[in-house]
Amino acid sequence: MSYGTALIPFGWPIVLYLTLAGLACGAVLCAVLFLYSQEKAKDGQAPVVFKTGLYLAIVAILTGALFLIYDLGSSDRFYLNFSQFNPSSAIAWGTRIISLFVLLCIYSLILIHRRAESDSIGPVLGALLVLFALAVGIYPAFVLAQAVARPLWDPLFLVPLFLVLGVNTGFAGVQLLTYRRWTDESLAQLRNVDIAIVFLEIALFISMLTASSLSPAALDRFFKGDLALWFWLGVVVIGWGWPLLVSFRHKLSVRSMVSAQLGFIVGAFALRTIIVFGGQGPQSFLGA
Amino acid sequence: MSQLPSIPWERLERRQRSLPMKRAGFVIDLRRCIGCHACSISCKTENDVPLGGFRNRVRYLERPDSDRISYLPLLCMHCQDAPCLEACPTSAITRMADGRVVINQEQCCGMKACIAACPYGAIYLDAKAGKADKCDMCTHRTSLGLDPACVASCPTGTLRFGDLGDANHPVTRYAQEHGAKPFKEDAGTRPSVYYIRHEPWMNEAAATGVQITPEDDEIVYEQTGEEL
Repeated sequence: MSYGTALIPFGWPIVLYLTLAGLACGAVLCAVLFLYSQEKAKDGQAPVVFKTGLYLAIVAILTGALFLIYDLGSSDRFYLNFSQFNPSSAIAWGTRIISLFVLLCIYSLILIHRRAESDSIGPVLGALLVLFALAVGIYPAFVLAQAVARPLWDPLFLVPLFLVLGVNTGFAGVQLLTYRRWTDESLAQLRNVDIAIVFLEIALFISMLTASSLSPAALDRFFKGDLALWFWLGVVVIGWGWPLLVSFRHKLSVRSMVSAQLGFIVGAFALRTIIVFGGQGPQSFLGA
Repeated sequence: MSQLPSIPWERLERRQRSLPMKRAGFVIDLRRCIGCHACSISCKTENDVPLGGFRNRVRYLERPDSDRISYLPLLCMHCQDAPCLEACPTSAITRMADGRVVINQEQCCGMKACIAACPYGAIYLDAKAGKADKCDMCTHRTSLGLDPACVASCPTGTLRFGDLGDANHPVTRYAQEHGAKPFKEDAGTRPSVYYIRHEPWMNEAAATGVQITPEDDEIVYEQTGEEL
C-alpha cells in the first residue's frame, strides 16, 4: 500500500479513528438501551453499564481525535476545523457532531452521578444521546462517500455497514468491560444479537462489493491481493467465523463470549481497514 | 553590459483590462504532445512545487492497440461542480469569478478530503507544509494577462488557455472545431479542461500510467508502487 498521496489520502490514523468513532457510537447506544430496558429491574446494573458505556465512548472518541491530529501533523490546523465551516462538507459537520456528542456524554455522566437514586437521565437527554450516537456512527460514511471518484464508497451500503460495525464494536466493548456481571440470560441474549450482527455485516459487505463498479483488479485486492490477509484472517476468521462458532455452541461460557467480543472488535477494525484501503489505490479509481 | 529588455507593462495592462474571463479553461491537444515534461517542469519552477508533488504532470500511457506510447498531461480540471470544494471542511477551496478553483493555503487544515474527492488525482499534499496544493492556472501570471507557465513553456502548442465562456475566443473555437471533450465525463463534475483526441481507454490507463519521480532515493512508478 505504498501508492502516491493523491491515491491514498486516508491512511492508518483514519482507519483507527473510524473504528474508535464507531465504538463510541455503539457504546452509547448500548448504554442508553440498557438504561431504559433495565430501569424497571432495579438490580443496580443499569447505571453501571450506562456509565461504562459513556466513559468508553468519551475515551474512544478523544483517542480518535488524537489520531486525527496526528494525521494532520499539527494541532493548530485541527483548530481550523472549528473556526471555519463549510456546510457542504461531511467532515465539517462531523467536527461539530463529535464535539456536542462528547459534551452530551459528560453532562449525562454528571447527571447520573448526582441522581444515583433515580437511575434516570430523562427521555429528552436519552433521545439526544441516541441521536448524536447515530450521527457519530454514520457521518464517517458520508465523509468517504464525498469521494465521488471511489466507486466502493457508495453511501447506500456504507452508511448501514458503518452503523452495524459501530453497534457491533460498541456493544462488544461495553460487554467486555462489564463481563463480570453477565448472567445466563444475558449471555443467551448476547448470542442472538451476535449472530444477527454477523449475518447483517456479511450481507451488507457482499451487497457493497457486488453493487459497486469496482474493476476486477480492485476486487482481486480483497481476495488474493494486498488486502487478502486482512480479509480472510481478520474479517472472515476472527471477525465473523469465531463469534459464529462460539454463538452456535450449545454451552456458552463467559470466557468464550469474551473471546467472541474481542473477535468482533478485531474483525470490525479489519473490515474498516479493507474498506478504507480497498476504496483507494489506482485500481479502485473511477474509470479504472 | 547590455541592459535586459524592459517588461512591456503597457501591453500587459491592456490585456489585463480584458479580464476577467467568463470561464477560464484549458484546451489540450493530445495530437501535439511529445511528452517532453516542459509543462510539468515549468509549473514546478514557477510555483515552487516541492519534490514529489505535481500541479501538472504528464502520464506516459501504453496504447492497448499498438506498442506505441501516448502522452496525457493532467492537471486540475477546475470543475464547475468541484467535489473538492464541497468536501473541504474549512472552506479553504473557493471558486473565483472566472470559474477557476483555488486553495487558500491559510485556511487549509490538511485533512486531505479534497485529495480523496478529486476524480482526477490532481491535488497533492505538500508534506512539508501539511497542506493541499494544486493548479490555480497561475493566477499571479494570468492576472497580468500572461498565459499560465505550462502554456507558455509548451514547445508544440499542446496546451492552450483562454475564456471557454466566450464563444468567439480563439481557444474556444479551436476546441469546437476539433471536437474537444472533457476527461472522465462520467464523473459529472463538468471540468473546465478539454482534450482533443482523448480516447476512452485513457481513463483506465491514466490512473496507473507512469510518472517517474524520486522517492526514498529510489526511482519508482509513482502510482503503481512498482520499483523499476
